Amino acid sequence: MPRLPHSLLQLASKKSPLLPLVLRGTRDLPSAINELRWLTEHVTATNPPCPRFARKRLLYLCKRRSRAEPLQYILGSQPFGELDIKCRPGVLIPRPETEAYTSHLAKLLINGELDEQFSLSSEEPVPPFPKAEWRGRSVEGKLRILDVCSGSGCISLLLHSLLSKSGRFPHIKTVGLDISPKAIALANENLFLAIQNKHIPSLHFQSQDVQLARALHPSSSPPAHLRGHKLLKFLASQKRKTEEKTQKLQLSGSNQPIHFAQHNIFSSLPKWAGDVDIIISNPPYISCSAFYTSTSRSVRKYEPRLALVPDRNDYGVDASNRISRFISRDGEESDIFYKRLLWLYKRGEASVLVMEVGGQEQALRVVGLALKKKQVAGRNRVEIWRDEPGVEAQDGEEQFVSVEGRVVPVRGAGKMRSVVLFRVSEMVDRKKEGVGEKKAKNGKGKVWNKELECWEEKNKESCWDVKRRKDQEKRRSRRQKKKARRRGEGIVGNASQ
Amino acid sequence: MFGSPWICRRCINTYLKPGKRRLLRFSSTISHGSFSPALLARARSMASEHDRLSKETSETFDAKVSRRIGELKSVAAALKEWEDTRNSLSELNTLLNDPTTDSELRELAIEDLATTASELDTLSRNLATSLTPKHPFEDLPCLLEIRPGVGGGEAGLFAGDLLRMYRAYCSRKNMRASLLKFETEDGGSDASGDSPLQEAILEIDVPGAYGKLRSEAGVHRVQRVPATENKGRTHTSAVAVLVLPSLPTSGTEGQEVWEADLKDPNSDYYVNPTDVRTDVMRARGAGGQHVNTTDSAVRLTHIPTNTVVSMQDSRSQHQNRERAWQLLRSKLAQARREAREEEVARLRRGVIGVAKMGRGDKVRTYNYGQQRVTDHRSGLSVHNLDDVMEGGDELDKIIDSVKTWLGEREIEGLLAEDETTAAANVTK
Ligand SMILES: C[S@@+](CC[C@H](N)C(=O)[O-])C[C@H]1O[C@@H](n2cnc3c(N)ncnc32)[C@H](O)[C@@H]1O
Repeated sequence: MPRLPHSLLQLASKKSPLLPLVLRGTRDLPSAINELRWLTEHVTATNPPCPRFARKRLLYLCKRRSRAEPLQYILGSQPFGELDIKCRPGVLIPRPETEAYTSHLAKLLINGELDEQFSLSSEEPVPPFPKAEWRGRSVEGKLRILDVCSGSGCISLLLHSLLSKSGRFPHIKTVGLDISPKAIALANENLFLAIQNKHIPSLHFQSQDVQLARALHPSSSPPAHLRGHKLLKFLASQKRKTEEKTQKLQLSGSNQPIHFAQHNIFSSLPKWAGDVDIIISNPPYISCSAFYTSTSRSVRKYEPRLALVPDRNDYGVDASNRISRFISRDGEESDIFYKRLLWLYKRGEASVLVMEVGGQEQALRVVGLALKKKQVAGRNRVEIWRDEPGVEAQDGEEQFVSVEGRVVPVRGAGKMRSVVLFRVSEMVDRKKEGVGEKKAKNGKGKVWNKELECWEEKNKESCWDVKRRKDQEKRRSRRQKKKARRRGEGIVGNASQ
Repeated sequence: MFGSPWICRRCINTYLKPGKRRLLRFSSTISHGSFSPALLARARSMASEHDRLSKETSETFDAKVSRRIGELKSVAAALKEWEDTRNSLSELNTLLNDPTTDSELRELAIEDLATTASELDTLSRNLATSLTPKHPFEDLPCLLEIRPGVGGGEAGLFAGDLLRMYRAYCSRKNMRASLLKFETEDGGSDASGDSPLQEAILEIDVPGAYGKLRSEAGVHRVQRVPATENKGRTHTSAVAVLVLPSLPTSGTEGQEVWEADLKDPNSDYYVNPTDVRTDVMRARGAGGQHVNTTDSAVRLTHIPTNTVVSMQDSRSQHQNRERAWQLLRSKLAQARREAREEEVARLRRGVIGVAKMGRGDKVRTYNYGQQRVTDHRSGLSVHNLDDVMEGGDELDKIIDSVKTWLGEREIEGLLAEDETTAAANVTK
């Protein structure tokens, strides 16, 4: 690392005595000025108004920053879209590039640009409860999202927040998977924070559901001949019926809109894991050598290597054996996550796959991996998104690349940042298996929720803070009673159909 | 036409109170009984429209019509008062001209004449004011931008003083104010206040704040011995203040109109998103997981007008983007308004329009040596600088004096406009 020029340090110290310290951390002056201001604001906001103590504390924080400790760990948070994500050592700090493609995906979904993708027909009025045929399944604004390698939970939370606020997708279910217990704990804290700040609706209070239930089952007016206690009885039964329906709606699926679970994606995955609508992932993608040459000091020194560098020896013997079995030895070690993701995508019924990549070379390799699989190549539209996928390309940035004889569009401006696959419904329909498959999938949609519930139960110890869990348990016991009562009438979640 | 001296000089002298010297010029254009005929005609037609409309709406109700009635009401009322007083004045005059009037009555009439005439003078002014159109941004909240001009670090320090002055003023007036943007040279935060300011934008989120503060726009000049000066010399530096309308982005309490305007391509408040280029700081090197920088700056460029705004106060890029958009909308709306006003001024054949005022013009001087603040438009000087800088009553006085001055300029503008239309009619 080159030393900072003396003149720059001198210039900084002229402006403020603390600035050179911060400058050592940021290595550029404008950022240092901003960071010093944020540090100062943080100190004044979080400390009792004792000027001497505040000065000492500020000095201490600046010293930490001068040793390249990330500002996000010092302040304990990083803004991510409209959210504020808690940050802690041991879990990767959310990046602005991740924010950009996550927001872009949400925008596409909200604007209906992926409706064709999900064969949501545009003639039908969609919001707020879009009823549409979605690859054979009847979906009412239902969306299942899988966030692989969820880390701090930033992707799941932002996507969920944006989509649920749009009102277009009233029933979203998101699952985040990560190998690190620290990450899962932090993601759950972030979920709690987002619910508290009303960015994410808590299912317990989803008034939309209540309204929907009322709309679907309006209590009919009592017959005219009823009088006295008979009338009261009738009204009571009406009320009870409505409440039951409401509760069932609330309890369908699991209790929370987002579920973070500790899971190694190279170990065996539950069958439903691929049966989602969207898979999105920011997996570790830096190669061992690039870790030493192209990461910044702050990243190298302070962020978890597990989150950055794929290494099959990190994930246990079983997993390592599986990797070696599934994935040929000649491929890049830094691409092993993409192979797993593609396998998951191919196997399941997801319609969109978004994978963050480290740059142009990796993007092209990943597109190559995808197109090599015939089933994937034949049924998917492949795109590469740059750092800012929503804006126009700048001069000198090509808008198409050719991989494996296929022309792949490159969208936006900046570096190549993610590879995106869209399953094309027509191609599915052309296949002969059409009808039979559709039927099978019809069932699968329901199974998904049930299996997930069981799985969550198994995992609940690691996931939920106590307050929430108690709540959950109460509900569960109630639900089980009801299940026992209504056995044979079908699955709970389908009462509305 | 209206400037012709057709009142006897003695008469003017009897009712013009001394000390109202500044209004002399003004009174010579609008004096008793000689209100500009063109303006009078305008007022009469507005009043008759008012009567007609209010008769009509007694049967049916229409929100648009009733709003128009509200606008016309003040004109109708002012006109009525003015006419009543003028009638009594002419009655007094006939009484005086009548040779049969006895001397006692004559004396009373002369006394009455003086008060009635001065009353008429005030009423004339009221009538003229009621005729001047309301500024379209009058009822909006506003953004107040403060930037140091020439004068180096001292200008930055004084900019900070002005910012504190306006914040104190707002809090005294119970107007909610928050910093939208605050940049100092060394990144010192808002609390300390001893580092030179580079740019600050205060958002005053109260309806009508624009109308209250728009007269503050212009160059504010300071004369004092800077804290940084060791030879004791007085320096002169300048700070530019800009007042922009703040356009609500989401409809709250009765602002649906604005929301509709934001989406209407023909309105002053509309900004076509495709005309705006967004630049964000991108990480150097490979980006992504390789670095963890904190750059959150956002710069917006409105390409057709080449208006640039940038925002980097918040750690959240999302928030910076929203604030930058707010600022850009305000700037464009103001620019479009100014262009329109300039057009009007041009039509008025070179009479200084109000639009011209502000911007590059020096509007006020703060002289620390003499503890004096002088406003160059109203000509008012106050000698309690500390109270002004604390946003106290003295600042109120200054702001009010400028308000009055502005009102007079607007009336002049109206007169000039009528004159030109009259001239055009003559040549026809
Ligand atoms: C680059 S981070 C992404 C974090 C977050 N999604 C984001 O965008 O900020 C990669 C995450 O993958 C997790 N991870 C690493 N190996 C994994 C594995 N075998 N299975 C599941 N998660 C893994 C790490 O713990 C880390 O949190």
